[in-house]
Amino acid sequence: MNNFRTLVFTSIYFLVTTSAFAQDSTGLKTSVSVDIAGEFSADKESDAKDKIGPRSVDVIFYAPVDHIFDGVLALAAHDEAGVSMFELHEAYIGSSKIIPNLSFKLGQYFLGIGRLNHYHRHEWPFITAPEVHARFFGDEGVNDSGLEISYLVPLPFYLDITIGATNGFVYGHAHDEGTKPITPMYYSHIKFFESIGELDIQPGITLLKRHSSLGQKMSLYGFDLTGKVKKGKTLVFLWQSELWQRILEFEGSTKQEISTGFYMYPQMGLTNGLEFGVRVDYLTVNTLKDATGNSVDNSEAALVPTLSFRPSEFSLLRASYKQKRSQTDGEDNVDSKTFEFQATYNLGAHPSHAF
Amino acid sequence: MRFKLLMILLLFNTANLADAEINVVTTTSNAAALIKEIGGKQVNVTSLTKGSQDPHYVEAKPSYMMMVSKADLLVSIGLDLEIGWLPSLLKGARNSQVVAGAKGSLVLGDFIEPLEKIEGNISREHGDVHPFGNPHFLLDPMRTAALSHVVAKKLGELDPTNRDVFNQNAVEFASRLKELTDIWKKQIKESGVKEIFTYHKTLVYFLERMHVHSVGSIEPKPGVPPTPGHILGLIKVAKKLGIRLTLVENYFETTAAERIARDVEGMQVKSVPVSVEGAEGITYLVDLYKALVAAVSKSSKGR
Repeated sequence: MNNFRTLVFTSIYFLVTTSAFAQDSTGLKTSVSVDIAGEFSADKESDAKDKIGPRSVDVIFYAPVDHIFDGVLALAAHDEAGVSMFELHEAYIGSSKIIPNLSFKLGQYFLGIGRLNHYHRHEWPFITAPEVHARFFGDEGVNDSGLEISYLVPLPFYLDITIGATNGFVYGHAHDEGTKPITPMYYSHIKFFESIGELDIQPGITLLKRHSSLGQKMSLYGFDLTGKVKKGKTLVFLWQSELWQRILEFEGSTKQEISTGFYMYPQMGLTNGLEFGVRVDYLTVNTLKDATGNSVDNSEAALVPTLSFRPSEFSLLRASYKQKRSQTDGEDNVDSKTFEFQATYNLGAHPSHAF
Repeated sequence: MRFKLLMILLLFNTANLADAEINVVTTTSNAAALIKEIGGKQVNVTSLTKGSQDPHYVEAKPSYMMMVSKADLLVSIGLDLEIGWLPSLLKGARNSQVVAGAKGSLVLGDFIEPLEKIEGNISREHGDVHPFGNPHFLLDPMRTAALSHVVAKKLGELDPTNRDVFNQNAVEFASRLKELTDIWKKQIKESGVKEIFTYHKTLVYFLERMHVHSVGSIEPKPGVPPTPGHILGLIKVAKKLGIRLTLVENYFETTAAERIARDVEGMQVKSVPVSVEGAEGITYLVDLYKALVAAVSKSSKGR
């Protein structure tokens, strides 16, 4: 880890100090995004840490490598139990200039699945991960090394097909190398797009499979739907939702664990950079059984009203209140209430984002 | 049988003719209007943004990516106008024929002498500034006239068989704009309007050409909404200099300008189109220039 940290510091120092004169001729852009977040318990059941501080710092370098390829390097520092951990988020080479309508990434990247997983956490429309995302993908998302290919199908309507295969040694957020899986992880995401009046909608479907070294087979099926009405600078309306089902199978056993969850987040743009939305989270283990083999109803549900102040695309202040209920048949419900706060800012260039 | 064969041949020929058109995608409706003037029937032009839309802030929609993916030529304004959205569109379109520097890319801003080019240190503290110059140059009829020849050259490279047609169209359009500009300048001069307010710095080129001075913007800094203090400052300026006209680009609210008008006697607030198809009856660039000239010259008691 020390060697890696030294490497990262050296890389940042070298790139930052050279980018000033390298920028004009090479197209190198540097982006630094700082995400300050905090959570405070509003009742005794909340497991909030009652502290605020930098949650992550993302340093992204991107540029055309030559007339064919583009390169991206994203380094991140995270607060983990009070210690800043540096890690490589993304390092890939890619191109959209070799075969018409086709692009690819080769290296390490966040998998192009669902909706949230495409974006760094500081770009999300809310502070913390929805229950289903946290359970299936971790607090941030799933990144891995491999090859991802996207094809814009030449049809009269928008249809984008992404397929990818990655090492699959680890899944989600990990600081170790992991172990070689029985088969590499593979996935596919298909996106559509349609405009209905001023409302633009983008539905997508995802399939992901992983067969870990321990023999655990995971299948993930997802449906994501994003809708937007944007007028000038103002995002008048946003709808973001994802529905996921995860099936875990264990080698040598017929037992399956099936979990289903979703979140939906409608948000209205108010005035002068203010946005207000309410996220609804739900997650259940469909196959949970008691000692006698009877099914047990259970759920994790949360309601998260969120108020954001976004004076420009480069800064944001956000506050939310999370009311969560964990319910399992035969047990007392556990309710918790938490206040969450976030401030993000971007220094330097910031890559433009698609819809 | 012969009739059927003839029909098939006709269909085949029609399809070929359709294919022969250059498929042009532009980032703004003003650029689209310019391409239509020069390309005529030999081009099929689509603008990504509508005339009623602020081209600074555009969602990089997948439907736009589809359009760009099928384009033979992408015409953009440049000078960082589309920096917030065009790079992701190009990435998503996956069409190497229209990326920067390719044969199918034309950045109009590369061929003009821009106004308001900023030298020295700038930062985001100064608002949404365009360090390479103001990108609203197509509102100057004479710069548009000069760009006609640039467009004709590019279209001629893509379709050499129609090169002469494009050049001829450019010569005619440029000459017409020159004649009309002289008339418009005279019209505005006779109106006596010399100084006005605008909302954003969209009209800088138009006003400079017409010898009208914009002495203040409702936005305190580009892209930054007006503050009460700034409005009060503009009221003082208007009273002191006798400003009687505020032009507001019609994709912005007129509320702040009307607030100034309440305190300044005789102040007129006019919501004006700044893009082709930005208002009813604005189909061509000439319509747009005429509407702007009318908005200035028909204001009463202008200074």
